[in-house]
Amino acid sequence: LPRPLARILYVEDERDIRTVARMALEKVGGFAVHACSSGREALVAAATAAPDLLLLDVMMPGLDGPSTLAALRMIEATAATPVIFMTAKVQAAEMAYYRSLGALDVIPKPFDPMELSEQIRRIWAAQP
Amino acid sequence: MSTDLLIIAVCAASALLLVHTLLLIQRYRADRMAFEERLRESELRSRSVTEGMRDGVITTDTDGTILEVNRSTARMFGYQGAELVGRHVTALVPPRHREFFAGMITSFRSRNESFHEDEREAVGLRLDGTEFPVRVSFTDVRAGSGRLFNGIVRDVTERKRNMDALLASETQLRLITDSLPALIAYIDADQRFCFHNRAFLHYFDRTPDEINGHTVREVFGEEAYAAMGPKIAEVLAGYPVRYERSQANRLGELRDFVVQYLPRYNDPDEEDERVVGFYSLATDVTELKRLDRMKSEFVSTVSHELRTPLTSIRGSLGLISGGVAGPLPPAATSLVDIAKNNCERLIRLINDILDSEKIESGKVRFELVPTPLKALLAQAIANNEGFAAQHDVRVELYVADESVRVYADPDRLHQVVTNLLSNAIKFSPVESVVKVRVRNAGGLVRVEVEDRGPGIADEFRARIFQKFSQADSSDDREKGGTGLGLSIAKAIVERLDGNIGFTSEPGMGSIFYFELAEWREPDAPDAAAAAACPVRRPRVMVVEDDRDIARLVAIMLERAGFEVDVAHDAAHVRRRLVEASYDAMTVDLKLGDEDGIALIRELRHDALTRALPIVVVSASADEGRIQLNSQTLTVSDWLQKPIDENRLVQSLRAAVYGQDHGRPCILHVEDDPDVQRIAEAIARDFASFEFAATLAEAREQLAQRRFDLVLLDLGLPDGSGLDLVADLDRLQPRPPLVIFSADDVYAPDAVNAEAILLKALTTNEQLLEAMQQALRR
Repeated sequence: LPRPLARILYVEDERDIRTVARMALEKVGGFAVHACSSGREALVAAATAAPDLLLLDVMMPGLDGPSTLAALRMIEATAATPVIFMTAKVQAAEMAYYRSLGALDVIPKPFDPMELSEQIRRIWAAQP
Repeated sequence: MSTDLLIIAVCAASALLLVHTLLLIQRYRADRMAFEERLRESELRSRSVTEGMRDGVITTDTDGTILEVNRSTARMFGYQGAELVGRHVTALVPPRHREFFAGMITSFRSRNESFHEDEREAVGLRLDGTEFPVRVSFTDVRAGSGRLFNGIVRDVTERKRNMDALLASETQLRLITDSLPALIAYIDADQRFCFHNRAFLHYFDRTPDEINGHTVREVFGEEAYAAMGPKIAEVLAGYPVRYERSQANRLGELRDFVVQYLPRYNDPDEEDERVVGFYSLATDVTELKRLDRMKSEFVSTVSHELRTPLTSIRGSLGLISGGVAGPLPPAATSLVDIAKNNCERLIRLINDILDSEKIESGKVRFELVPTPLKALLAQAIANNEGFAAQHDVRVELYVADESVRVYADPDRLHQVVTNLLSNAIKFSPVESVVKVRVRNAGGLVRVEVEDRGPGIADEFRARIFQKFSQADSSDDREKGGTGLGLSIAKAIVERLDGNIGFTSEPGMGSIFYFELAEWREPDAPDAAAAAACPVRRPRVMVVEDDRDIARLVAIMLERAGFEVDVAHDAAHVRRRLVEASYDAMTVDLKLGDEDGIALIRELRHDALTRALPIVVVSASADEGRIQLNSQTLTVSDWLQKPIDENRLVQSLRAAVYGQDHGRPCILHVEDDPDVQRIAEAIARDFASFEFAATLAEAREQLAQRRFDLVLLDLGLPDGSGLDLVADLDRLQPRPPLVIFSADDVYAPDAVNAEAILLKALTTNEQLLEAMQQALRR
């Protein structure tokens, strides 16, 4: 069984979305959330904060979601950290592509903030 | 006395002489008159010839002075006939040409030999001063020592007018085609260019000489021709073709073209209809495609860009209405809910726009699989349960055939059902029932969603599947629709080769339905009948108006392992084609009052039956062959009545399986499995085998189907193989027989067999040869 999910590293370049999602994760889901605004920032935070899960936006300036994931896999401390993508690219083929990069799952935007944490828990519980 | 007698005698002689002379003179005068008469007649005749001519005939002396003209000349130039005699011939041409003509006559005079000047163009001058185009030729006529010149003049006003018109229309055509931004050409049945517009030259940087008269293969090269060849074959077979092709222009840039070929038939008044060439129209769509790509990218980008701010809005509203930001006063709660619901609707709208764009542009790949319909419908209904509950509506599912499947992309089909369901639910009165039914009709599965809503107003019927076409903005918007659901459903169903529609009675409700082809597994092999040759019994339609002959053909084909349906007229054929699919068809060219050729043409123009193998079986097969060949309607074979069973079966096997698979079937009657295996191994490449280990099995096999050869062992567990020979002799047609038996069994010489081989003395090669020879018989 996967260990209980408590600490989430959340990466999102849009400040407003970051605020809303963080609130949803903390207040509704009761998670400990460390939020970053770029992939680069996330690499540093992931190596030091040792989160249970990375919640990663796909479209970001600089290091985007997939590049951040690739970089995380090359760092020993984060090589095995599970990742969930969030994206506004919601076409079935796009979602399938992001899943194929090695993420647990992909959560489409816009999301329902009251449901988001539950959704993440389901994905967490379903991992092999 | 003697003197008197002498005088009398002389007188008598003189009288006789005189009478004779008179007779001679009279005859001479008669002859002379007849001669003159003939002469006059001949002159009259020749005059009447020239007088009757439409061309003008002018005779002049060597100075060019007119001696005689016929009536046509006078009429042509506006003179009374006699007025022209004595004038100089140059009076008949405008002053500016007179010097030239005078010079020409001088030059004629100086020639000593006879001459004939070919027709040349000239301008005639009428008495009234008007000019007209003529063609004129000259010869000289010698009469004894005298010499005359003859001119023959033809008024070509009409012809010139026609030519000018033709030229003008051709020029016009050229101007039009040259100014069109498309590549236009006409290519004949030998695939040679007969016409092309200027864009064609410009595009490929060629000269007319490099294209006119050259074949398509020469002009475009082998590689491009490989792609074009089949399309050209298709248009020359009489079918319009449309396809897309990339082609490098003179700068080497690849451009995208939509190419259309249209067949050109010979003149309709000619008896045989045939294709004599085709028009080719190629439009450069590179730019259109680029714009289309831009549009798609734009839609995709916009939908993504809109999604980002909507994520914040939807998230904030969700948190507020979820009470995460603290409790709200009741009035604020309902306002936040309104904002949240409309935000969700906006998101659906964006999803639908993106969806609709992707499906219509064909960018979505459909994963087609045999899909059990009942499970899919039940799932869609379950997913909409909450929505139905909100509207206080119940959804009921009626599926008679639980196992019915369609060939579809389950996710997309789910989307269609959901769209139809959510419409039905939205427009249903509270506490009513939405019924989902599955019906089977002629190979089609029809799914119906019935509601008791207000129905579809007449004025809205035509637009219902269009985008953003809610019946009444205040109505559907209130229901939270995006206006794209039915348009998307239609696009999906059409991509699945189905159709979608509705029936509705305003005030009573509506039934929206879609129809898809039912998925059926290819039939399992039928062990009893046709295990050896075909995997599945091929289905043949016999089209024949004479019921007895139809039955006969059906029996022959059934014995050979075909499944046979009979149709007696064209309407019957159409009906059967809807009900089942066929592997081949036999057609009689005389179908009562109908024309078999017309039927074949009709089948060839229908996409479904375009490639259906057709064997013509007819008393007038040869006559029909000529007619059909000229119309390039392809048929697989021609059989003459009376029908030869062998030919019929071979021909249909070839039609169904291709020539290679029209393999003969051999019945091997043999109780030793090793010998069976050897014989099969030897002949496997050209024939298929059925085995019988006993006489009884062999008889059963022979009763069921026709074989092309029987390979017979004589020593069988239940008797002598010789007993089977009598059974074979009774068969019509009797299959060739090769006896392949042990040397200890005696085979009488008289037995009717193609070959008798003794196992111990026969090599594999000899057995193979014997079988092949017998099959060739």
